[in-house]
Amino acid sequence: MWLFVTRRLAVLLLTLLVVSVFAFLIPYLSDGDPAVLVLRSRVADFQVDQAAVEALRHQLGLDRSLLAQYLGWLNAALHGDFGYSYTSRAPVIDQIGRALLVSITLAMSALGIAIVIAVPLGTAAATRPGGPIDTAATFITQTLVAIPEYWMAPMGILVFALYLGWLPSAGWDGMSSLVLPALVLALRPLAYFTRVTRAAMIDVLQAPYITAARSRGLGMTQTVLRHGVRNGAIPVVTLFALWLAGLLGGSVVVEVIFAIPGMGRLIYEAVINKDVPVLQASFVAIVALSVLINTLADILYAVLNPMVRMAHAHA
Amino acid sequence: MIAPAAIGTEMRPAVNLQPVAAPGVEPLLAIEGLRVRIGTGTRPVIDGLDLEIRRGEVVALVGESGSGKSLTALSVLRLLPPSAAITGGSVHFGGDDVGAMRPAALNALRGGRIGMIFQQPLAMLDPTCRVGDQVAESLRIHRGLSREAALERVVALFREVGIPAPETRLRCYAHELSGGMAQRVMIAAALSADPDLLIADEPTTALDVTVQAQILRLLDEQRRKRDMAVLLITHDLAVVAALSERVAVMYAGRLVEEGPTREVLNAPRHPYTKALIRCSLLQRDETGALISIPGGGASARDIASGCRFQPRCSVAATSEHAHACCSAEPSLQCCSGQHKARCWNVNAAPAMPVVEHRA
Repeated sequence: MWLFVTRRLAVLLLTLLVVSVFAFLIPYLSDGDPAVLVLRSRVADFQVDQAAVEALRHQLGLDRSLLAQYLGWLNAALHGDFGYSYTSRAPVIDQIGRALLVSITLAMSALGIAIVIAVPLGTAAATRPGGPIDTAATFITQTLVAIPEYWMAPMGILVFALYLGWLPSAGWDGMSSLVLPALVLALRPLAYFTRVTRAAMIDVLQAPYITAARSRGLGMTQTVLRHGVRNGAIPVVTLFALWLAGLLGGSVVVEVIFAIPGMGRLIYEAVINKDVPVLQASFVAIVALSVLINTLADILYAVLNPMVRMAHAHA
Repeated sequence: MIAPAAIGTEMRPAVNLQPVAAPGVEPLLAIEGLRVRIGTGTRPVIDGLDLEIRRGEVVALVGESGSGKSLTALSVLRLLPPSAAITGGSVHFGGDDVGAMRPAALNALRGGRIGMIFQQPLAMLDPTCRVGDQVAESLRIHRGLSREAALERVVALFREVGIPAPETRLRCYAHELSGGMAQRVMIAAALSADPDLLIADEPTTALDVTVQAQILRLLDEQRRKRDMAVLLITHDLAVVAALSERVAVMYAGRLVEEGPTREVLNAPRHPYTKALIRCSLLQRDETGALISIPGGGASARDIASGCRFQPRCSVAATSEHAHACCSAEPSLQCCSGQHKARCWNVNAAPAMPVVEHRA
């Protein structure tokens, strides 16, 4: 088990190293001289002064070799210094920290809602495939998957904020402002979780050990709770981790529509403003978190499934 | 030791020493006219099965794959898969109609009054749950014990069924056990609530030969100690000879022969039983090839008319009842005492001298 964890952490570090190279190269991937870009972001004038460009290039260390620049950047990054935002002039790391906290809160709330509804619903659907619950669940999930967030979010605002007036329409100010975006964001994962839970539980409920448990006198509900859910949860854990990693930087639409200062909106604005340091740091932060989340999911997977634990112990 | 050789010794003409049930004594398990259908099949896969087991009696149910043995066992506990359903007949256990039981009574029956073990013991254990907890489950349900008290009792049970180091085995997962060990765990679970009947569905088929003998010895030992009835489902006649007092032979969803084990194995009346015995003795024909039954195992669904075994029967074509064999199904008729067979030639065909060359 510890060998398994250690190995996963090594993979995590290696991934981060590779990602840091790509992050470092971001300004070189876009057209134009980084120094010119920086100057342009500071002065609206398109005719930048060549002397000023050279001075800035030297100031930023852009006249050094690429490797030296990378090592310098990496060293700073390791100390939490990703430079200053071109637009806000504030340290990037602080901005990322605040935005990540917001995005994690939003993503976890959305996925929490999704899983709390999806697992019981999928399980209920699986106990009677083709029954009324299953039919309803299939209809609902197919509908949810098909509705895009940019339609669902305005409709939510229209109904719950403007018409009913129960919830704020936008912003990030306490629980009440979390509810609507979290619900909108929950709908699609809810649909996927339900379908995966249903499929997994149908398989699990046909397993011989379920018949054996029933032959010992366990009722259907007890059997599902004691022997079904844990086995059925294994694929759902993997899916949960993928969604969580995806939502951290991927809830752009919802964050922009609801004016939520999360990672999605931060990246969106950084792209529009060509704010390179923010993009670099966001890229590293999101990939790091994704890998970390997936590592945690694999560990949880091993906890749920003793057979995996065994395989890793012997590997 | 229970090996095919055991049949030879059992097969010498012997006086039937079976205790004859006192008439009027209620059987422990009474299956009457059981019919089971799979899907929307036109013909039931179990078609009017009658079987009784008395208290403390070991009855073997024999037949090839697809004959409906396992479905019969699952019908007793009403644990048929969703695709199959009981469409007729009745099952009474200790006088209670199992078919009319409400869920709570059924759960008390399963694992409480009837224990069951299966063919693939490893697949029968939840891979994510410690085996001790799975056995303890039964005690918690049927004896109302706390988890701690139940686990303590499980240690004793493990010891009783010959599991070494029971305290540590409690914490094992299924994949950490061998097949034989997993079957011992299943036996411990099945015995935990002191059932009156143990249903053993091919308990040794998936195990290797030395382990088979150990498990069979364990079953025999436990059922004697507990005076427990056993419904032993198998296709292994050596196992039948060694353990059972009475045997019922199934073919294509129906009983074709039934009687005291010695009598049936020594003097089988149905051509199918005769052929089964000949196959299990590994007899060779004139060309030196191992004897087998021509044709494939028929399921009850493929039968047209006449005797279900007729297409594969070596007697039907030449017998004086050849016409009847093809046109009408014989009933289960008495041939001597408690020995019954479902064959038109039951009295015409002399008992096959199966063991003369081995004696």
